[in-house]
Amino acid sequence: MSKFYEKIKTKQEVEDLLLMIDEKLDGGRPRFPEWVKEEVKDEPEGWGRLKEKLESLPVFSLTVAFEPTEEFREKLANWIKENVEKKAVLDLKIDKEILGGAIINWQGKYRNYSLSKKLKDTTK
Amino acid sequence: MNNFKHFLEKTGEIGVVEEVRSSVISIGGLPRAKLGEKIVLENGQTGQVLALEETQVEVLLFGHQPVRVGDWAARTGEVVKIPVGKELLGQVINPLGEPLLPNGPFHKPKFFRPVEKPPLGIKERLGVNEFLPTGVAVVDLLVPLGKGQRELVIGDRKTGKTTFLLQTLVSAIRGGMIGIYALIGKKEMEAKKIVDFLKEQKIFSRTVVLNASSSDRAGLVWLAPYSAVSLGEYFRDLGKDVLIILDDLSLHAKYCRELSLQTKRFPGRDSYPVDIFFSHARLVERGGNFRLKDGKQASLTILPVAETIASDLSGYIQTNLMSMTDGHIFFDPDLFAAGKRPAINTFLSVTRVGRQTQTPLLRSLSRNLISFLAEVEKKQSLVHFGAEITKEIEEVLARGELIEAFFQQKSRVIIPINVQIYFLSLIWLGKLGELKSEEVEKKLEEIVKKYQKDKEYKMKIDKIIGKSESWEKLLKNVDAKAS
Repeated sequence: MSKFYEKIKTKQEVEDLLLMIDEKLDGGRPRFPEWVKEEVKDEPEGWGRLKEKLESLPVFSLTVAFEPTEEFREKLANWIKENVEKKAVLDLKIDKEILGGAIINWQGKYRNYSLSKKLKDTTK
Repeated sequence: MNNFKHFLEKTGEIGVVEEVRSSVISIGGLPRAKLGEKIVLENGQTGQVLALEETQVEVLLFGHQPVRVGDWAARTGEVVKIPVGKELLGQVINPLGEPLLPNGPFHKPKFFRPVEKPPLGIKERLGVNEFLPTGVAVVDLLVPLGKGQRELVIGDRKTGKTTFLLQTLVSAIRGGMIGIYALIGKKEMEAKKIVDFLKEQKIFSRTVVLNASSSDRAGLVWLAPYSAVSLGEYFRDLGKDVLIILDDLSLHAKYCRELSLQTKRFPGRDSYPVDIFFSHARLVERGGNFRLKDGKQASLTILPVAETIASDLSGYIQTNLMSMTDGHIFFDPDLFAAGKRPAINTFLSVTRVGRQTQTPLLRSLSRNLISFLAEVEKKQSLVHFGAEITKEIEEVLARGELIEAFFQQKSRVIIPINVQIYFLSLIWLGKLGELKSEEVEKKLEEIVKKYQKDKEYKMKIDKIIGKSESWEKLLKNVDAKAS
């Protein structure tokens, strides 16, 4: 797996990085991690290329009912990269109304495996 | 929002808005979306799939609410439909069937119909065989219309097109038809004016006013004529004769152009979409006279309107519409400026199927009248050259003047066809005494009122006309009765 896809794991990280690139392009001096500098290779068009690459990353959206720990987030993101798509970034949302389980949203497909839906279906 | 969640669960597909271009948005996702499918956004507004691309779906929006990049969208699995039912009569609705101007309690109809539907085929069609009285003498006698005809009403703005359309609507509804007036991209006030007129004429309860104003989204305006025709088809299938006014299709074409350019499609002539002829022809083709499943016949008369600029009949959309309709009624600004009302230029107007619906009497009257008017014109030009006026010429000109005065009709006057025939025969025979052209209007008004109130008088006129098979026989019968 390329280093770029290994390092970028969540949608939040993509958005933060995009903001930093914009700042850089506007003449600011944000502090980028080393791997970003390696990716850009000091080429003038490198930043634009990186921006495009970041914007094209597919998003794996997951809605859960609890606030996960940093460790759990990491574990989930790694699992997605290994089992679903190496380029995918995780967009984790919290919605307590779903009570439990998860709602998955990937490449236009929507699957609701939440407890609230299950309860609704059984009480129908 | 509830609707959105329902469809999300139902179809199991989600999309994310990736680009917003006014009325058109691009959505990523929705892998199994189909052309024409209804899409619902998380804010509740709806749209229709316009095009399918590799990873995106192009959607035309109908709602007012702003859409942001990142908003969610869901498929519905069904095409765009409009609620249809008798509940809509006497209502002003938008092209999605939602009420606009409050007119008593609104009950949402239970039935729905797709707005886009292929026209019925040849098997279900019948020839146009029934006369459609418009109540406007110059049209009924010289450019007659039939039920099921598609007749273009064309002319510059402010030349009296709407007045004529409303007169036709009143006359058609009084004759038992159902009326649908679709305002396409007009000002909001126009709908109010039309409703006021319809209420004043006591026919609003048999009319549906469909309004997509210039302040609505282009997508909604684009939808308007299709919704109007779908609604008309519902009433037709109930066995009713329906009159649909599409006011106006030249403006509709401009909205099509706007949407087509927004979607970056290759522009055709005058930047209109390349398929504008197809889309309008397919729409107008839904009109006609039909044989229903139970064997009865019901018609869908469509009067599309087109605006011209400086009477230019050769415009792209105007000529398109002319070639897909069964004739056109041309409102001439020169005649309007000369004080002629309605300012219809009968020499430049055409009716392709209207004459076949006329009775033998009307046909022979029409023929005689046209040749007489041509003769009057010829004589008038002779007089202009300073030729000596013989008694014969004098008589022709005097009669021509009276006929011209007879054709001068106020906006709120609807003349029953038998009164038109009877009055014309009185002029022809010189039975109105020394009547001057200024007095024609008053005399005609008297006869119309008497015809509408006095049953015996009505029967007398109807009887004379009923037993006359030709113009000559009618003149004989009227002459005998009058003397």
